[in-house]
Amino acid sequence: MNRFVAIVERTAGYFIGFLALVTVGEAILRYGFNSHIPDGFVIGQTMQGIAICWGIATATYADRQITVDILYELAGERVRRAFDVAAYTINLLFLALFGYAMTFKVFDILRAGEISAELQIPIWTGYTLASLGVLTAVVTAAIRWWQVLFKGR
Amino acid sequence: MSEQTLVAIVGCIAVLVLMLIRVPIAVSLATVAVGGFAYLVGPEPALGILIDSPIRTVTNFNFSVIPMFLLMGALVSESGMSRELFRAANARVGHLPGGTAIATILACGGFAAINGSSVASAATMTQVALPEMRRSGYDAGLSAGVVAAGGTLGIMIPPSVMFILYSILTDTNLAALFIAGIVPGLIAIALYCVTILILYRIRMDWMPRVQRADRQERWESVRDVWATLLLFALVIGGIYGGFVTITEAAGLGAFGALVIGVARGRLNWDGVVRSLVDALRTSAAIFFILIAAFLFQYFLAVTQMSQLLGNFLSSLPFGPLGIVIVILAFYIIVGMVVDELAIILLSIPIVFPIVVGLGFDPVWFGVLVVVTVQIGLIAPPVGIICFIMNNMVPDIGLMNIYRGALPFVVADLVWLALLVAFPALSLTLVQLMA
Repeated sequence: MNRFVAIVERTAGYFIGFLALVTVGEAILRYGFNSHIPDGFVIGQTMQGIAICWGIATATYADRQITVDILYELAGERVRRAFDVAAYTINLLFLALFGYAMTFKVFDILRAGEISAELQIPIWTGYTLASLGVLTAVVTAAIRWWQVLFKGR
Repeated sequence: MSEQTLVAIVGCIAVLVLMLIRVPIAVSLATVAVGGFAYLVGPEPALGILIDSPIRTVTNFNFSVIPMFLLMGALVSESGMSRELFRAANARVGHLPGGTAIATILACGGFAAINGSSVASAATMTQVALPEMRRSGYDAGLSAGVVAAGGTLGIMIPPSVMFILYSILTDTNLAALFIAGIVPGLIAIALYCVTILILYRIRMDWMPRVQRADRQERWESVRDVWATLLLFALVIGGIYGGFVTITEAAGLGAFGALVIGVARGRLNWDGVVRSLVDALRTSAAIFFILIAAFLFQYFLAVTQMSQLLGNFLSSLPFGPLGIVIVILAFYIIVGMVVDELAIILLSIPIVFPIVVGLGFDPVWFGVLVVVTVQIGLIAPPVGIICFIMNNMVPDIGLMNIYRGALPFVVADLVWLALLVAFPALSLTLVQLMA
């Protein structure tokens, strides 16, 4: 699983790199040549969406979401365990609802048949990749929930 | 009490309880937002906001400044620019009273100009400056306090992630916020240096004098700072001069950091990939919180909490400035026990309309909010930077780190008072830019 997370993180990281290249490319073409990357805006925002959604999936598995730890640090072992069970359960339930909503959104876009203005790229492709990231977050949250509940880690 | 008011109060308490039992901040906010909205408006509309709002947030191209500036920060950290800045500052002022500590603050200030994250600044400087101070015989707690305080400069001196979040949440001009942070950032550097000199007067044994660097070392170390200056000029100069948009400046900053790092042989492929992953991790965490913050704004709108709190604050017998001071005091006090970022994200959509309604400048208020966050980063008992440093150098001890940071918290309070009393300190450069 750790290997899978590392590969996903690396791939999503490349999307951040591409986003930077698109942004710089757009700026250079705009100021230097009065031109632009065809659908650069759509490509950039899609890459960002995909990277962030997959980033949320890996952050969920690696426990890298931002949390408030003050009470947890002060608590004893049993209270910590109770906190963990409650927190991981709520996390899983919310992400499951979020995953359902994202899937709904993809079907919505698919039905609408939206395409980009210049390259005619179907918009649903990017949204699908992004929503797969959120669905993976549901899976990683479920794995962590199971690990915390039944393996105590 | 109306049903909306009750739900608003219960909702805010629920968010705090969830955060305290260590539910991620984003999930705490989003769960209460969707649940509260479903209760007041209905389950279908609540699902509707969850379907539309998050995807709009993650694909908003204007928000790409977050991953871009984070990538720039990660690349400059990977390139070792912080080490160059410290070396240059130490070669120039290291021999003065408290010199190595002052050099640390100056290097932190310089690093903040090319890195928008306080945590990253503090973590980097802990590796670069702290060992040097300790090698020179500086008191360990004081040394840690200096690095912690210096690290906080990362969120005031542009580019700053905190300003970006404030801008997104309040729709305030980000370029104006960045420019407004420059003078307050320089004042903070000056105040920290004065604090070090005062401490030197009180406890000379905490900061033994060191030998002056020779002329060649002074020249060579300063020569290496060109890369930092170039990046700062590219990004902030571009924004101030109106040559590029802020998104383009962020992209150029990231690309510039990459080119400079590779050209100087400081960045290899592995380093670039590490930087990309680092930027991704932080971006994902911040975006998840932004998703939740926007969902929470729906909840706030439907409960009319902002109006309720506005009415309450307006009824206080303090006058407009007094109300702002009450809000800032609330941030500082609550920020001592709860993560500042959470408090800001929870409360800014509520208090911002009140402050603007009182006739205050949103940019000025943004600067003040960031100062309170900065104080919260090092103030006991939660100061996150002190915690991080304690993890990195456990032999100093958390209490010792807090002891070292405390004089700088006092300096921060003086700084905040100055910025409240003289809004021109924050706004003059912005007006010149306009």
